[in-house]
Amino acid sequence: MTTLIVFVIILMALMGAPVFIVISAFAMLGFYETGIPLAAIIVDIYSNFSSQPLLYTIPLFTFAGYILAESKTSIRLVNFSMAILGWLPGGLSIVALVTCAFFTAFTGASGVTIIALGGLLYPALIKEKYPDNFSLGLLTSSGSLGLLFPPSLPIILFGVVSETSINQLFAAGLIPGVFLILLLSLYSIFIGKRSEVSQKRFHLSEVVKAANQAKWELFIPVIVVVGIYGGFFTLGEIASITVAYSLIIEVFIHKDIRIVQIPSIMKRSMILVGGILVILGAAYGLTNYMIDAEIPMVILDFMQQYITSKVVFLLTLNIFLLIVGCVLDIFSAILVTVPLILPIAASYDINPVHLGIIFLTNLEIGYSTPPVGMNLFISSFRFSKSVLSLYKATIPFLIILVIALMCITYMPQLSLWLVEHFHIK
Amino acid sequence: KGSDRPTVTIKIATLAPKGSAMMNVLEELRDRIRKETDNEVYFKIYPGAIQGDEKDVLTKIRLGQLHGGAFTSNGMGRIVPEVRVTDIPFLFKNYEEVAYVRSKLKDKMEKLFDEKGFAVVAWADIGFVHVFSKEPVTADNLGNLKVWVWGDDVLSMTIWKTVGVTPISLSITDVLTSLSTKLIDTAPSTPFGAVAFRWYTKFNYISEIPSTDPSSALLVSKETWEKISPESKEKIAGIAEWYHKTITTTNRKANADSLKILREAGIKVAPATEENIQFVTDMQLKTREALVGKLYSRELLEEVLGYLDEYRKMHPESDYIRIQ
Amino acid sequence: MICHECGKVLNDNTRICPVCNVVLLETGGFFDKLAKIEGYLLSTCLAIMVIMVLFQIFLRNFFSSGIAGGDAIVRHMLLWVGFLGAGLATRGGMHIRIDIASKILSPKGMQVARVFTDIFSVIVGSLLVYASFNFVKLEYKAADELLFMHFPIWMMESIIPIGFSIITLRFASKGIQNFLRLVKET
Ligand code: NA
Ligand code: NA
Repeated sequence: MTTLIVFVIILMALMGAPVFIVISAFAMLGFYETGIPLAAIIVDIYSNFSSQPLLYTIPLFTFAGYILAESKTSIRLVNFSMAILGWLPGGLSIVALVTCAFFTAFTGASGVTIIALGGLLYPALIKEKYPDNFSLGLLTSSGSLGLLFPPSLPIILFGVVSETSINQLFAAGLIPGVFLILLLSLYSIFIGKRSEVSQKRFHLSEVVKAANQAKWELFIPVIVVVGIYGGFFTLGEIASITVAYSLIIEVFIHKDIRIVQIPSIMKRSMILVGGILVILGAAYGLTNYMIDAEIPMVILDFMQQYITSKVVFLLTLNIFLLIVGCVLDIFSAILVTVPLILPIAASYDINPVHLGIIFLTNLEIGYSTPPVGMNLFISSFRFSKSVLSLYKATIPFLIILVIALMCITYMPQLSLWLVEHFHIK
Repeated sequence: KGSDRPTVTIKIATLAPKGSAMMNVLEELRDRIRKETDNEVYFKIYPGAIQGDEKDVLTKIRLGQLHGGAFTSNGMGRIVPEVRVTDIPFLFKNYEEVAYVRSKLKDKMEKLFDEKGFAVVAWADIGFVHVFSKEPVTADNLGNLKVWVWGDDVLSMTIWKTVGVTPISLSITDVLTSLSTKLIDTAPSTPFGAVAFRWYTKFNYISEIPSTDPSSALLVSKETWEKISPESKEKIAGIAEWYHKTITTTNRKANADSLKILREAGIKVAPATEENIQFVTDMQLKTREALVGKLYSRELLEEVLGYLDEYRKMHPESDYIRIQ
Repeated sequence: MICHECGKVLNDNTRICPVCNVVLLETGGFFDKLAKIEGYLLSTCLAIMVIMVLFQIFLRNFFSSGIAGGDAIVRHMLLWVGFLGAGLATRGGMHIRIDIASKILSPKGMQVARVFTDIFSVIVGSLLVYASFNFVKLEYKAADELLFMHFPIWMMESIIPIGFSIITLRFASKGIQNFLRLVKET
C-alpha cells in the first residue's frame, strides 16, 4: 500500500502537482506510517517561521527587488554600465551580464530578471549585430547569474536551512560570482571581436551623465554591503532600510512609481515569496519526519560505504546537484536536499560555507540546463523562440559555467579566501 | 522479556550536543536503565536540539511525537512556572545554597509536575550561568546592549525590564547566527554552554559572579511513564540518584574545563565591584517581587527565602562563588 | 504573470492560459472578493514588518530602547505574509512545479493531467487543513501569549489552517473548472 502511495505521489509530481503539495504528501505519509499525528508537520513550520531571525529578510528584499524591477532602474543601470563598458569589444554583452547579476541578486532568479531585462537587452544586442544564438544564450544563462551576490535570497535560504553564517556566505560568494562573470565576459569579448560588433568610444561626459541618472540606485549595493560588514545594522534592518530607500527614490525622486501602485507591487512580490515560503514550510515538515526517523544517519552510513574520498564525494555531489537543479527550482532544491547533504559533507570535512557556494553555483547552472531548466522556458516565451533553439544557444555558456563550477568546487580558496582573510564571522 | 526490542521506547530530546559531557552521561543513563530494567525501558535520545528548542520539544510531547525531554528550567517553567522560583538571578551565591534549597522543594515540585501530566524521572544541575558580553557590563552601558533572552521567557524579560533594557528574544538554536549578524551582543550562558554551542568566539568578557544556576530535569509524559512496570520504575528511581550526582559533578567539571578554553581564547573576566554587587542585589529584589503572581505565589517565595536564611545561619561564611 | 504550466508570459488578469488551456484564475464573485481581502491583509502585514523594523532602529539609536517583543511581531507577520501570498499564488496558478509533464504532454494531455493533480492537491490540502487545525487546537490549550500586547499565540497561528483552507478551496474550484472545460471540449 505504502509503495502504491509513494508511486502515486511521484506520478503526481511529474504530472505537475505543486512542489509544496508533493513534499507535504511525503511528510504526512511518513508521519502516518510511524503513527505520529499529522499535526507534527505543522510544529516546525510554526516554530521556524516565528523564531528564525533571518527569514523575514526574504519578503523584504524581494519587495525591494520588485520596486526596482517595476521602475526604470533597468534602463538607468544599462545606460550607466554602457557608458563605462561600451568601448570594450563585446561591451554590451558584458553590460547585460552585470545588470542581470544585479537584478538576480534581489529577485533570486525567479524569472523576473529575464522578463524585466530581456525586452530591453535582446533588441539592443541584435541591433549591435551580436549573433542571435549568442544573444539568446547570454540572456538565458544570465537569468540566474547573480545568485552568489548579496542579498541573494537563495544564499539566505541556504544559510537559514544549514544554520551557516550568512555574512560568511555573502563574502564567500563574491569571488566565485565575479569569476563567473569574468569568464563569461571573456567569451563575450571573443564573440564580439569575431562578429565585429560596433564599438563605442569612451566619453567621460557620458559616464558622468549616466552616473548622475543612476546614482540613487547605484547606492543600493553600497547600503547592503556596508550595512552588513560595517556592523551598524542587522540584516533584517538592512532589508527594511533597502525597502524604504527604494520606495523613496522610485516614488519621490524618479517618480517612476505612483503611490497607488505600491499595493499591487507588494501583492505581486509576495505571491513569489508565498510560493517559496510554503515550500519552505513543507520542507520543515519533511525534515521533522526525516530527523524523527533518523533518515540522514542511514544515508550517511550508506554513502560512507561506497564513497571513500572527498574528491569522489564532490564529483558525485556536482552531478547530483546538476540533475536536481534542472528538475527542481532552486528554492525547492535547497530546501529538500540541504538537510540531507549537510551531515554527509561534514563527514568529508567540507566547509559548510564552501558547500553553500558549490550548491548555489550548481543550481544556478541547473536553471539553464536542457532538457527542463526553468530559464529555457521563460526565455522561450519571452523571446518567442523554440525551446530547441535555446538548447543550442545555451550550450557554449553551459560549458563555460561547468568549467567555472569545477574551479569553484576543487579550489575552496576561491570561496574561503575573503572569509578567512578578513576574519568574517 | 529477553527479546531484542525494548517493551517501552521513550523518545526524548535534549539541547546537549552529541559528544558533550552532558550527553555522554545521558547516554550512560540510557544504557544503565535498559540493562537494569532487563530491556524493558529504552530511551531513544535526539541530541543537539535537532528536535528544536525546548518549546518545540514540549509541543511535540503534547502532540505525541516525543515522550519526554531533558529540559532546563526554561522548558520546565513552561509546564510548572513555580519551578522558576530558584532561578531568581543573584539569589544564590554558590552551589551549596542552591542544592540545599532545591532539595527542600523537590517533593513539592514533583507533585506539581505530576498534576500537569509529567513524571520527573531525574533531576540534574546545569551549573552557574554568567553574563557574556563584548564590553564589561556596567549600570551605565546597559542601555546600549543587545541582550539575548531565551524565547519569550517571562523571568528573563522581567529581569531586564527592571533595569530598563529591551532584550531580543530568540530560540537557542538561532543564537550563534544572531551573534554573527550582530543582532545580539550579550548573552547569559554557562561556560560549558558558551563552548558547546560555539558562542564564545563572539565575546570578550565573562562576568565574575554568576547570576543563576538553572535547574534541569528529565521529564517524561505520564501517559508514557504509566506503561512501565512498578519494579522497573523503582529501579529507575535508584539510577536517577546516581544520575543526579554524576551529572552535577560532570557539569561542574565541564564548566571548569570550558573556563580554561575561554581563557585560552582570550576572554577576560569582568570584575564584580561593590557597586556592581549592589546593583544586581537591587535587581534581584525588584525581579523577585515583580514575579510574584506571575510565576509563583508569595508563600512559595517566602518559603524559599526561609530555607535560604536557614542555610546561611548554618553557614555564615557562605559567599559568592567567583571565577578565579 | 507567467503561466507556470507552460511558461508563457501573460497579462495579469488572464483567466485561462491560451497555450495549455488550463484555468489560472478562478472566476466567481466570492473568490474575487476573497482575493481583494487577502491583498489588503497582505499589504498591511508587509507594511507592519517594514515599519516595525524601522521604528525599532529609530528607538534603539535615539532612545537606547525598543518595543519588547517587536521582533517577534515581525516574525509572526512573516507567517501571515507567507500564507496569504501562497493563497494568492494558488489563485494565479503560480505555485512552483516540476516542469516535466508540460514539456512532454500535448495541450489536451496537459488538461487531463491538470485535473488529476488538482484532485491530488485537494486531498493533500485537506489533510494539511486537518493537521494545522489540530495544531492550533493544541496551541489554544497551551495558551501562550506574545509579549507584545499579550496577543494570544494561537490567533497568530490561525493563519496556517486558514491559509491551507483557502489554498485547498482554490484547488477544488480550479479542478472543477478544468474538469468542466475538458468535458465540454470532448
Ligand atoms: Na529555529
Ligand atoms: Na530548474
